[in-house]
Amino acid sequence: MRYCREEAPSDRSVAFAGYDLSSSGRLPLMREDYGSGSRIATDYEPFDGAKERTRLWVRMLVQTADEVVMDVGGVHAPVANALRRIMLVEVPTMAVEYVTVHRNSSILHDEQLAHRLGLVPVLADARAFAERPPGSAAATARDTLRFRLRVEAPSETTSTPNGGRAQSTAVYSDQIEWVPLDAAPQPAARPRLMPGILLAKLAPGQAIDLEMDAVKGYGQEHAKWSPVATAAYRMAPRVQITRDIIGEQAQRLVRLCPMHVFDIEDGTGRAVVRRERDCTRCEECVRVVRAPVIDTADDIEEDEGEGEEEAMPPEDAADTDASFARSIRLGHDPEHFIFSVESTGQYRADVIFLEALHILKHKCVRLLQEIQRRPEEEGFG
Amino acid sequence: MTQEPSVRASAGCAVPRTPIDGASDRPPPTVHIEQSADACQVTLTLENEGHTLGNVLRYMIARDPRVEHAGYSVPHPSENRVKVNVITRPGTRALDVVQSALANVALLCDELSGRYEAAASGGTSSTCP
Ligand code: SF4
Repeated sequence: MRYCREEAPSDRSVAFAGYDLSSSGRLPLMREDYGSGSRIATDYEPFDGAKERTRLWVRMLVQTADEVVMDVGGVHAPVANALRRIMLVEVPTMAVEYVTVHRNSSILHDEQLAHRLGLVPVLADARAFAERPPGSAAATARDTLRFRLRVEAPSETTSTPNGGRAQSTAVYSDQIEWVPLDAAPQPAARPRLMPGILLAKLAPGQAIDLEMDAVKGYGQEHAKWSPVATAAYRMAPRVQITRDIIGEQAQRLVRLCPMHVFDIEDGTGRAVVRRERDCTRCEECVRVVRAPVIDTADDIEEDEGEGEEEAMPPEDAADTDASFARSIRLGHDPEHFIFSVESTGQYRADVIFLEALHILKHKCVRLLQEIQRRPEEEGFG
Repeated sequence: MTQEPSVRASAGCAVPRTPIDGASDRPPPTVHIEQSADACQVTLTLENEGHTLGNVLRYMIARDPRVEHAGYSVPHPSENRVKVNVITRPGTRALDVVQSALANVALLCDELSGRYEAAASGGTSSTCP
């Protein structure tokens, strides 16, 4: 496929440059150097607890109640990925699951309103609760948090303070109240739902009266139980300049990178890597740009069979105006992950990663115990 | 979006408290084990598990030098089940390798928890480069 794109305005003679996005032209650096990041079993050295311990490291970059950004080093992709997946769907939270509607004359259908309530984060630590057995009608304080919402919009005849007619009444999650179950001891902090979320708007005279049960669940079943808004990682980017880039070329490189990764060293005028972590690996800096071509319909057809020699600069050529492909190595560190976790509010963000580690560990320990419990003769051996 | 340690805003965050056992009320793991006659080959079928555990287990098993082959598959995307297959070199029981891999993942989690808690409480966590 052939694209046409306006060059950076400062680029003198080249008004348009067509460049090749076929695999041969586009990814010359992925195969060598750091590789694509995928590894096969033999790439990993044998597990040695003591060695593993010295390799691991964690560094917090952002740590607030809502968000954690951190570097995790010395782990491999399968472990990082397992932790990410667990944070998303296997850390339990509380969410509204059963709604009993006593009265609902609002414009929202019962099921719509119930769904909406389900998505409001319940600010309670689900780890202190048990799972409610499916189908059990009896809610206990051990497995359920009960809330009640009762609102009625003033009727039309009520005059508003400014003398006008009553307008619509907004219903916010703040108006939901906790209803203690059993004679359970009152917790220090009253359980509540995330405040400030608009649930409905009532016309004059409309009313909502409902009771809801929040139960413990897992994101696997429904996203309303997921404790995170995002839980993602990326491998730390690595950018290396393998050949000096100086003078005008250096300045061109600085302009080229949309993430401002490069800078010019004072004195020498040499291009240096300054903000490596900001690299998105867009490959703008290493893209092989062809000599300018005028793209007409004919031209495209004629060019169809062109091989990759055209796309790549000659093996021993210094960088041409067109590309830094031979002076810059792009890659990423396969043992350095930048995690970003945002909490939806049930837990402090920095607890979620720890909880995921804990759950992964328990999965393994319980499976190990289960295997060890089996009699020796099992199987067809 | 520069992510440098200077943006850290941890004033209100103390050490995360040790989690209450989040996994305790989950049903016990269901596993079906098939072994070959010489015990060098084993296939575990884990119910209610998926890529999360399958891949990490395959990875840890493959790191064991006694292993000839380690693989996993989720036979059907809408069945919550994963199969882990291991073939070991002669003289090694495949199930032993699985067991040590499970213990290793658990160990790794413990170590990483330690590092994480140290980093989260603002201590020195590590030998970070
Ligand atoms: S790939 Fe090159 S141009 Fe793109 S962000 Fe990274 S350093 Fe900048």
